[in-house]
Amino acid sequence: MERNRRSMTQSAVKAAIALALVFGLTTGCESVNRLREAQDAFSQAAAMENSVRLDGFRDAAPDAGESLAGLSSASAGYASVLLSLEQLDRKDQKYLRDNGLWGNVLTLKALSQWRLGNYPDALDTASKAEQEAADQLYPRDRALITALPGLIMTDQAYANIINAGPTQGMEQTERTKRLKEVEALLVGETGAVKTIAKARSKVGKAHPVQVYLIQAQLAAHRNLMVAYGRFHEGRVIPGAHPARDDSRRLVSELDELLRNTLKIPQGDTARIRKYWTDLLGL
Amino acid sequence: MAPGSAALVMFAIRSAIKLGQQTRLAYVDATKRQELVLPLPNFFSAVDDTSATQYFADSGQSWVAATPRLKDLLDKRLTTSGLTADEKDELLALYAEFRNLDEAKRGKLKPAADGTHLTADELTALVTVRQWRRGTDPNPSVAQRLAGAFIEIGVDYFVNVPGALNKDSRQGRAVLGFLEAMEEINFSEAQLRDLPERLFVATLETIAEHGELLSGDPKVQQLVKVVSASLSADVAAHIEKIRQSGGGAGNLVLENRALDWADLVFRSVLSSAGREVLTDPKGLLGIEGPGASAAVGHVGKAVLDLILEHPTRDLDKVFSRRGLETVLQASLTVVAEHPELLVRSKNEGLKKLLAGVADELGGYDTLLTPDLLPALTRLILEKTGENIELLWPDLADGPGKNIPLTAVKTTLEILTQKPESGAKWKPEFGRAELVAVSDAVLDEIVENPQWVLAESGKADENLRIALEATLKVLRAQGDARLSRSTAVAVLHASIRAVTLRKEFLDKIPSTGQPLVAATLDAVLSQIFQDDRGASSAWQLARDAAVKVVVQTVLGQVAKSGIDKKVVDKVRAFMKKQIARLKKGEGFDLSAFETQLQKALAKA
Repeated sequence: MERNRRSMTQSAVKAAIALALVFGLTTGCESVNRLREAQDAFSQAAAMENSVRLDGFRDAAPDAGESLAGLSSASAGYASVLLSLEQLDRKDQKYLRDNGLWGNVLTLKALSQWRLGNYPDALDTASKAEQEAADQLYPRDRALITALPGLIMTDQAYANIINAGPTQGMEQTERTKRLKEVEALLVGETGAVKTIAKARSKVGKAHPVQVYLIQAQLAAHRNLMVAYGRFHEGRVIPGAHPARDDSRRLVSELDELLRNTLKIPQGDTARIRKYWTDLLGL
Repeated sequence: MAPGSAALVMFAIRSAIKLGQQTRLAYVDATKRQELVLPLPNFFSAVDDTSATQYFADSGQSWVAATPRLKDLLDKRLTTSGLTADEKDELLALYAEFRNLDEAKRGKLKPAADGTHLTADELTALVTVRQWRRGTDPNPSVAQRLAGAFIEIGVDYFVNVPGALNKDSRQGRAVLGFLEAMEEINFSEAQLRDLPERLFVATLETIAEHGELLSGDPKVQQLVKVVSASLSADVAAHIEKIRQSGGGAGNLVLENRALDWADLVFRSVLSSAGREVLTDPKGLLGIEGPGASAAVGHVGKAVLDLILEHPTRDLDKVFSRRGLETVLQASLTVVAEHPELLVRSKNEGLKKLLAGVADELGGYDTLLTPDLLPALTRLILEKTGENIELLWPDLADGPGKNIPLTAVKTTLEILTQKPESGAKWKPEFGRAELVAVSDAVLDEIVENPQWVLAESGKADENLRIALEATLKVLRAQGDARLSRSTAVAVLHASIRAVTLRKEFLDKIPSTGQPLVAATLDAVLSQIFQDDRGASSAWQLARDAAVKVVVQTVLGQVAKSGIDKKVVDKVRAFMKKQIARLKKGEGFDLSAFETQLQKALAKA
């Protein structure tokens, strides 16, 4: 009799634990799962795109065209992220907001819109993130949302250079005009490099997002160099141009950050440094 | 079900829910902190003839002059026909070679120049970015969330499962008090680090060290509970604040300091409050009213805040364990007797006063006057408690209007001044004298409230005049025969005279000297004459004699009234007394007093 009672109690305890655990684990998990899937898809797409950019063009001429297959695959990834996030219903949205995840959602959405070339929507989403989810924008995401206009400007400058086509027959006035436009986009007072610098000032100097943002600034400088190669008579950025010193300073900052703050092994930091100094002719 | 099984099932359900909730929250946290690979913006990512041309226009210029083929290639690049694919390759080969040579010359040829390139995987690793920098994530780790839940479950188990803890044993009661306090804390959210374990050990050790806490009285259980809960909450708030500081980078040194002091304050409160709580539980545990329910907790919190929130004062050095207990004991006594100190100021009064004392007087606690601050804090608290209405009229406004604090500050300002170069008596006051004079000053203020009331706003100024003038006389008339303790007695007598008769502060028009100082001068100038071998000097310059003569003279003058003529009478009287002593007569205090009364009574 006593044994039966004990056994019943044990069963009741086990059942209670199982029920409570299941209840606790499943509540609201669907919407978080969807966000997790979107994060993974975004990372895969970004890795694909970066890989195409680095390996696909190592030995190619800069304007020889891009590895379309890789890029379209990355675009499909970004599109799937967007689709997944746009399908979040009100209930999901509320759950994500209540749990401090709404900033993650909007950041991911804005970044995906940017990579798909949908710049106005990307800027709208970034603005919404700053207004609606300011308290849920954590350090990395806050920096990215601030940097987004600068990242877009770098893309726009790149498109401007690519879309100009061959420059041999181009009028000098047209070349000068294009160079001015690209220069303003990249290193103007409200251009890409300064906008990204503003984003960098919003996170600690040792935050790993600095590595990304510095490289984004260097990418802008690289585009400026190519613009000079295409549109400027001397084909190079003049030595006294502030952009040259800024590039050197940024490479040093990147090197310092990797070696002393993030403690990346020397061989790896040397390769990263060499990549950027080779690319920028420093 | 078996007896107690319902409680066990309820316990199991609560535990599982707690675990489930923490697991879900851990999943949410992991999503917030999830790493992302970030795409770089569109840019021309391959090294090309633009890179090479830029290099040879800047730092690689010297190679152009020295290498005709290079110059040809660069010149051709500027023509309308441009470079062929082979020529571009040739330019890039020269670029790679000359760059490596330049790097080698500058001593910067690193392993990367061995021909290996940055790979896509390496780039991906570089742009895979965490949400928070390592060590700054404000969300609890999965381990902390689950460990926290397990602690909560453990506490829940001991408190609720019958027989798990012997609640009737003496130690059991105290431990139960601790566990009940811990039960109210959300361990997985609160930033407490190892504080619960430390407080648990401190509870057991303090109980073992203090027999009165082992009485098994339920009030001890309540004491442990209140103090544990209050300090834990306070420390969690401090740690949270520290973690938000420095742009979210936090500061481990400050966190450890907060934990160490919390441990010390906890032990001190338990040991200091134990007896008080057992004899007068109402005052500290506030059994009768919810407003004062945690008076003892507020005291612990106020003292901890005092230390943790005043880093610039470096109070770590000022407050030894003994000093801390002095302050705590005084605080507990005052709060137990005067709960209005907390009630009227929304629990902020004590904290404000302690902070005020540290701010105003902390600078006087030096190597030469160690432990001065705790002793003065005790004095100020005790004297304030003797007449809060009078001495701290605007309790809620902060310590600025706390009359004992202001008076002690004035006293220290004057007594710590360096003697002037021409002074005859040069000793400086140490801790004991500073505390003694402060004590005397506060005693007079408490005993003569009329002085504070009638001289509204001027009490402090009057104190300053009296102390400064008296010290000036001591410096001018005293010599090596005057001990510091006698000087303290003279200062005390002077303050007493002033509080008894405010005319002592009136000044002699011709010299500007306050009458109290002029009277003292009349006495001391005769006692400390230069003829050290004289019989008068042997009898009067003794410590005891100086004290009694000064007290008698000032006391009699206070009774008779004071003006310039009285001062002259005192001087003449003292001269006669000295002359008699020089003739060989003995010193008789009662005769001295009688003759003085007669001298003062003469028209």
